[in-house]
Amino acid sequence: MLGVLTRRLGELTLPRAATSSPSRFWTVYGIAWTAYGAGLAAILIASGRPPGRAVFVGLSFVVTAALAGIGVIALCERVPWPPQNRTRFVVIQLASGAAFTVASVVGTLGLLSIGTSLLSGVPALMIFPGPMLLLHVGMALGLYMVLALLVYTIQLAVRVREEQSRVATAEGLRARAELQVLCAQLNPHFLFNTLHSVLALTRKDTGAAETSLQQFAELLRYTLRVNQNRHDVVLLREEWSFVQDYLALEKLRLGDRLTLESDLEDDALQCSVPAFLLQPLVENSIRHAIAPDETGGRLRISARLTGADTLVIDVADDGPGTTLDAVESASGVGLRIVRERLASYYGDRGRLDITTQPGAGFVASLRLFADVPTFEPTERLLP
Amino acid sequence: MTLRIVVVEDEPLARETLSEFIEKVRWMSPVGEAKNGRTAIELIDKVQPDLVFLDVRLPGLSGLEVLKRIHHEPAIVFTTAYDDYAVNAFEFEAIDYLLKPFGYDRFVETLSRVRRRLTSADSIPPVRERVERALGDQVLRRLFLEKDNHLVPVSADSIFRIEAQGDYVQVHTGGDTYLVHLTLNKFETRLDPERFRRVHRSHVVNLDHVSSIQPFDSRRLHITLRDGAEVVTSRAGAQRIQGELLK
Repeated sequence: MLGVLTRRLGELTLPRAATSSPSRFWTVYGIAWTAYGAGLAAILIASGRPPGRAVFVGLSFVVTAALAGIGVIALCERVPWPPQNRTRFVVIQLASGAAFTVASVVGTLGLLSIGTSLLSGVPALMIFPGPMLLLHVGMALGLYMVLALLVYTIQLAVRVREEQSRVATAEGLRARAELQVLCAQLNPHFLFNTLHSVLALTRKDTGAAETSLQQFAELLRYTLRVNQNRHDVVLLREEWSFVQDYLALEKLRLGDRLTLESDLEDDALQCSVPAFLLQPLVENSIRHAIAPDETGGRLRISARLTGADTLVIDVADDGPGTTLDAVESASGVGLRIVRERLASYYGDRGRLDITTQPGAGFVASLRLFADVPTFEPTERLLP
Repeated sequence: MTLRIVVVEDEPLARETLSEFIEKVRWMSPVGEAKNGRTAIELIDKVQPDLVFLDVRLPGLSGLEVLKRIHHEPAIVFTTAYDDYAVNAFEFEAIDYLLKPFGYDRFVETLSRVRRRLTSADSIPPVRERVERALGDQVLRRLFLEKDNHLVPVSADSIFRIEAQGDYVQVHTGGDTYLVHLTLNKFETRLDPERFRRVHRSHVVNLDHVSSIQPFDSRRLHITLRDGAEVVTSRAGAQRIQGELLK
């Protein structure tokens, strides 16, 4: 019997704060009721009852109320605050309050009757005289309210704590994702080699060194600005100017191995696009087609509007090319970043097509919904 | 002694920088430049330089592949902008490298060290062999560590203990101490796990050189090595040692 009871207690839905240490919760619960019972007995003694009798009454009441209280806790857990249906909540609470009151009064009287019968050897049925009954009902109702209030307070506190830790986790994940993007944008090889080239320029050609450092700073500023502001929509003109700075620095390293042709039409440059849409494609070509080849290669970048509302951007190189399978299984983050940006910004109104074959170069072609902003999105980027 | 130098570097500005630096140093004379791996191999075998500055990343063949394919055996200083894997491994065999960006001072400092080493009487295995061993993934049996500008062969068995010192580790053999620019974590990956045990966040000990192990408190151990050095383990470290004792 006791085993069954303990098991049932174990299965009971505890207030969520208690689930981490159920034994502690029940200890506190027991201590609180013992204290309450002791207080009740003390009052009875003070009002002239014989001590034995007073303790007995206190004990009967506390045991009944504590057991009924477990039911209250379980119920409040199942009927969480805030309620989905207010009327239902009130009805349930009223009914359960009444049940708790009846259970504790009847239980107390039952225990008292049994105790008295056992002590006197004569069957006895105890009842509360009118004023005492009223006092007990009032006490039970008060206790019910305290119990329910306590359970709901714990519920809310736990929910707030969980929400806080969820927010913190999400924040951490986002920060890590941002850092990943940032690291991908600032490829360390590019970073340190560029610094090495600029260091060489400081001796050779101070003017060129200054220009390069400014371009380098612009590059960093754009990257940081886009990462800091959550609005990472820019005009294609801005992205293109970023790519031009990037290409100027790559040119510093690669010298005449990098040949560039660009044709970006004015109305195409007025479209807004997600930042870092073009640069990863350009970097991809440099990394796989131009830099590994001792004679270098040619990079062609074009952008134009076609039809009513389609923006077409092509980034093509005449490098060694590859197979589409190899592109799909590549570990690099460049194309992945572009695809993710396309998906989140355009949904199904933008796509990236790759045309390549071993020995036949590599063409990345973006076909996007031409989003011509009615106001300057530059303003959105300002802090 | 004048060193005859070849520069292998694909980036024009970096190549120019190196040439400029080389011309400034009295005891160096440039004898050739290569922009890619293939021409580098031909050039090195033809002019037989004393020293080669070799970029790790080159179009076509990488610097490491160039090293594998040349017949001549010059001293090598690798130049690299960022190559975590190779640079870390280079430390195991005290292989010289210059991290970009580098200016004239760092260049001269590295070069002076290389020259002192070249003119000393050390007989050390060719760089190629040491690079291959450093980049391999097997357990280290022997490594070359630097002491007073000399490369000293150190057998892994003769290492008593290794202690972390920030980004460096101190390698203690019976009598000598070497400073190596590697983290303890990286160092530990190349040690024989049968012999070497991580007993603490900053200590690895060679079990073959332990003279006694005593309890330090209820959860930690006090290890004495044969050279008298004492190490108190962490709790996790104590468990790793106790696992050994129960075998």
